[in-house]
Amino acid sequence: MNTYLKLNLLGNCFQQRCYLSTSPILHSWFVRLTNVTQVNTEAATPKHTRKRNYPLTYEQRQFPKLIGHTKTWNTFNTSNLRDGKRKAETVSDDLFLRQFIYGTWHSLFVSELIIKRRHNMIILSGLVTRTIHPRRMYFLIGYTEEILSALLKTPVKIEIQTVENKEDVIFTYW
Amino acid sequence: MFLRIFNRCASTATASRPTSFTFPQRLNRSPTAILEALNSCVQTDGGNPAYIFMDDPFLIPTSGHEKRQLALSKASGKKAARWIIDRYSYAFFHDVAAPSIPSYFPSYTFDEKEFIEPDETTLYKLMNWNKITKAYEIYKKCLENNVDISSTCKYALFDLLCIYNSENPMDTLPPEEDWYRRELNETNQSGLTKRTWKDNGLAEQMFEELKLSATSVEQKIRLYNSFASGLLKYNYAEKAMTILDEMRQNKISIDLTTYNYLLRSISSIKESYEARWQFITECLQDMKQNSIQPNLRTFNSILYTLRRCSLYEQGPILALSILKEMRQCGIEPSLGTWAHIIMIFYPNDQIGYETQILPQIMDELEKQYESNGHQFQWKDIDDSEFFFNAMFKATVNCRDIDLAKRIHRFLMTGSNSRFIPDGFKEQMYYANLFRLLFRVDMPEQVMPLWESVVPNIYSPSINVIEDLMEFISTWNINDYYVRLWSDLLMLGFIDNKQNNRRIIERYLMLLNRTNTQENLSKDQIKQYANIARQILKRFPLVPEEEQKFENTNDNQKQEISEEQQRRNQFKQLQPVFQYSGQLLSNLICLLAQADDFDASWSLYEHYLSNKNTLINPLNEKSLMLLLSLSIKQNHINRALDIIETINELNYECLSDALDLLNRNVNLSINDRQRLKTIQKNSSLESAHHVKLI
Repeated sequence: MNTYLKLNLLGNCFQQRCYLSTSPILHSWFVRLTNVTQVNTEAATPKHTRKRNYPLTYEQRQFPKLIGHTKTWNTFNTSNLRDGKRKAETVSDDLFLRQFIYGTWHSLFVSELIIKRRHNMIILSGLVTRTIHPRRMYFLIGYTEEILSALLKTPVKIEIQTVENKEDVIFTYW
Repeated sequence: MFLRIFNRCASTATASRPTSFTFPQRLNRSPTAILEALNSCVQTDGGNPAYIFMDDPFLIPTSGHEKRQLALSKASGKKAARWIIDRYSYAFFHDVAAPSIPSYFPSYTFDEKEFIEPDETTLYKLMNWNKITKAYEIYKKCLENNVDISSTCKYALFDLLCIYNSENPMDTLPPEEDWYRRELNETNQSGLTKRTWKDNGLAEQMFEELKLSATSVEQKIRLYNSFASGLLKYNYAEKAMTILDEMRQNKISIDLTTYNYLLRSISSIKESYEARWQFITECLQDMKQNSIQPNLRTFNSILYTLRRCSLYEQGPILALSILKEMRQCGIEPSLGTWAHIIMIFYPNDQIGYETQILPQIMDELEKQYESNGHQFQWKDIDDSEFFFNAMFKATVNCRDIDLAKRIHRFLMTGSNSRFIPDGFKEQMYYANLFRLLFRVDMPEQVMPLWESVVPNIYSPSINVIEDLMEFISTWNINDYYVRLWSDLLMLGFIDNKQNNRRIIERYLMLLNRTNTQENLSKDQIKQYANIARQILKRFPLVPEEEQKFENTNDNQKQEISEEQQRRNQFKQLQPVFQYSGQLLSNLICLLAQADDFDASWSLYEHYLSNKNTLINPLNEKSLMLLLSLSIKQNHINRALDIIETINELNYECLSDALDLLNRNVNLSINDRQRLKTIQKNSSLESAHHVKLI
């Protein structure tokens, strides 16, 4: 979603429904460079749509300058402290984790994935819609935990919360 | 000012300061010390769902069935991941962990080459990856190809064959599945000792082979001992005895493990109890002569054998002497030891109350728990039986509430609850506990305990729920009726199954019984009516599909989403909930008392239209309540209908009904005439006594 906002394509798609996703591959370079709406854009700060009806979550509405004031980071780790270890690896792991969750929990996550690293553990959390049966949700939990810990060689744990539907996370219309 | 300075100087001067400072000595702690310290703070808490479940209202299971379903689906997710990991193993070899963690790697895939030209390393690899039968095949091949195999490798393979009964060992289950293993694995549910040793299996073949080649004494000792313990482990006592005799003849010493297995399986070797004890003492004498120091397992095995001698008079005395012996050897009894002792002292449901051994054991255990630094360790396999046995005997034999609660409190402290190994044992434990409490204890004490455990730790079975309802109805705790309804809903007892129907019926009976007994507050009447409405909503009188066909147009039909269609299909598969006259009348009572005429009238109409198929007619009380309500709300025609029904059913209350309507002022002449004809036609005498205006 952040990427989406960065490109500020909201002006073009105000007719679309709320589209909360983490896909980085959205539009071609051509659109990026030639669109009129790209004038005076800021990263992760969308312009108003013409009808002001594009839904934003709380996290999206709090623009980057508010990080640390009204919202926190999406990933928690100590690699960027002084003498922190595995700086680059942590970032690439995070990217991978987000991609994995985006594909495996397809259209289930309605918030950004929060990645917390505690001791040697990685804890993934976020908001999930109740569109599938708890049984299938637990299957996904077991599957994700096992396969991610095998890939990253560290215990991965999922701690999700559920919301009734996507509309529940809308904070404002932009 | 000066005074202040002076004071300050004086105070520092008087405090005797040591001139040199020594750092406190560094304590050497284990790398996991901090985790252990954290663990000691944690307690079993009924307020949260178990650790394997997500802490989220949508994802927390409450009924036992749900818990099982969700835990197993998580386990199957893990298995699916394991399959992927093994299938696409090349993607999982990137190793960043130091030290590397073997269980996060895909399992080893063997090359064909390794099997074609086998050697010792292949054998070791196969053994490490639990492929014992394949290892034996390769071993054979090695012998054929004249490849040298060291004797250590041979004997390791032979040991594994004996330990696993010439089979590949079972894969370790994920913890979620492990909890339900008793339900999942059909084998050996009864707990009987059956002979499971494989005749002429790989182990026996290899034994015969190695017997010829074994030269040194040590090799022979190892060979015979592992074979004998394998035989004893899988309950083939006859053959084991011949092997042991052979060992004695050839002067091969028996080691501790074999002795332990032998002591454990004496009950299938000797018949009479005296002979068994004789045999035990012989074994112990042998051990003493060969100067083998017994361990915890030895003593537990002896007690296990003693336990098998049920109703043996000497049993308790011998058990105590064994305990004493343990003390002398400096071995601390584990939970398993106590579990056996309990079973020895209480051999059946009647005997053993006088000995008061269980409270003494609890005293002893609590002391042991204190001195062990507030934790117990798993020391023996039998430890898993303790809490189940203790609770079983405390409730069945002792019938002692305080003792049962004490055991339960002990279970809840620290991480003691891990000594209940699987779901089945846990169910039995809590069933025993609550059965006793419901029978003997006061509600003020039971209910908090119930609430602390249900539903997160324990989901009661239907029998326990029925006991609870019985308990509530005998004590007549009005406050708990509505709570009970939500409990029933939460634990999944309100559905269409045959058993659960019984529960709904009983529950409604309960509500109605209290209705007559005393005057309820308005709130309670309202709540009860709401419960009735919920039942009606859950189990509609007319199946839903029929209603839908009446309401929906063609256009709307197309719009019904796939999900709804699926839901409908699912519903069609389920049988329709069958109402009986009893249920209907109970519902009418509840609704009529809350002045809900429409709902109760629709129930009444449903009864009339299905009179022929329904079991049991409506009862008097419901009809009278409905009648008085209809009079109150001025539905005279309907009231007359009800009176006709009462007349048809020949109920005694007809006279009251006539009287009730008669007293009503605004009756038209036609109505009065109708009343009179009803009176004439009725066969009841009491009805004729009522004077109609």
